[in-house]
Amino acid sequence: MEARETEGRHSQGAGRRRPVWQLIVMDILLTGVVLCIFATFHHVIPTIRRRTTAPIEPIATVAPPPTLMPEETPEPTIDPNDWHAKFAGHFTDEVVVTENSYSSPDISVTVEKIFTDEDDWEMTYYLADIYIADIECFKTCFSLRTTYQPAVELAGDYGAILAINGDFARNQGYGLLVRNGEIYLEDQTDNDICVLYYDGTMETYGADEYEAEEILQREVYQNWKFGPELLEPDGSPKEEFNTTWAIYNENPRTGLGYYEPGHYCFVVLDGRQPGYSKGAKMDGFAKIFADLGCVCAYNLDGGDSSIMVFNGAEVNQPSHGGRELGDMLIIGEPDWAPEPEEGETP
Amino acid sequence: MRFIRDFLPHLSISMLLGLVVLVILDEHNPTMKFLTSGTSKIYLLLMCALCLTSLILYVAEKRK
Repeated sequence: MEARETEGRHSQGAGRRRPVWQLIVMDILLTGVVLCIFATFHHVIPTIRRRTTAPIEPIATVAPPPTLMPEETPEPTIDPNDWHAKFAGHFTDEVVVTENSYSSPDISVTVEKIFTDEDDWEMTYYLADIYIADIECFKTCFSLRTTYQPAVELAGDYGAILAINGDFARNQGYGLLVRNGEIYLEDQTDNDICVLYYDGTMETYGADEYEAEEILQREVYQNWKFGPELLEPDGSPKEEFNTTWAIYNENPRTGLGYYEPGHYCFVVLDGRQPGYSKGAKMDGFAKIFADLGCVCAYNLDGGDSSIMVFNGAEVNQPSHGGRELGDMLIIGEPDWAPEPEEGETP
Repeated sequence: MRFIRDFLPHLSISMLLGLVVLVILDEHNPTMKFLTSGTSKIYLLLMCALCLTSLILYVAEKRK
């Protein structure tokens, strides 16, 4: 009797049973629906909120150190803190602009295009050699008009002479974040960080080598939190990096190098364009900075974001035409101010 | 009730497949926080609840 009931249940169920392929297709479609719902809550709604809210606001400001009067010395020596004197040979009394250089009383920038074809692996990168006389010539700026902006437009909004993409800090609502002396976030993060201090020194720290609180006790001017750091303390290229394999592999790249206070370099390496530039792995990118003689170097956001703007135009060939950016590292005159729009009081 | 009981395992399968996709995406672009954001945590919690409910219903069915 029980066996007959069971058989009856099975035969009823068998009548409604769908074929296996139909179940698989339905499950895959359902997976798509689930992912769409996830994407809506994870990305779309927060993006709409960010676009409609005010720009990112700082929570504190790091005061610049007081200017020390140099002590009188019997012999005339160059004060290492006086970058005007230290790099006098690079600055000019008036603004001089050429196709690949810019110099003024406070800034000297030279942009060079370099092509290598080592082991049949073509790479093209743009090296910007930078001297500044005032740390305030070196800024990191968030997009002003919308959350993300075309690179040339963003650089223009801040009067940038030279600009490269930043670390997309807006996408990471955690970690340590100081921009132009203003503290936005003060948490620990798993990423390596790069810190530029008011005295012009730049240091990179592995994820387990620093405490955010200790860093903030010094006079931090900027920090970036994409990474990884690229050089060992002795200036040789690192062999192991705190990153994922996807970021480690061949990609377009943007990086920042440091020689001494007041002297820095930006490198933007194009990629994903066979015949022109295929990109570089992280170790290859680190080697570029080591060969340049940098003391420390740091990797910023790459891929389609890798863009360098010089004198109001893109100088490199970003992969897929590039993408809109949320922040940029810029070199600009310290006293630059936007021109007031029509009807606006200056 | 029967519809829900039949539908739950498929939803669990779909959410598990979705999690596999998120793991792959996170490997490619960790800065998007596909696995560590607040939404992801809710997703994982929901998935656990669904799987647990499905399994409890399955065990109860088997015991009948």
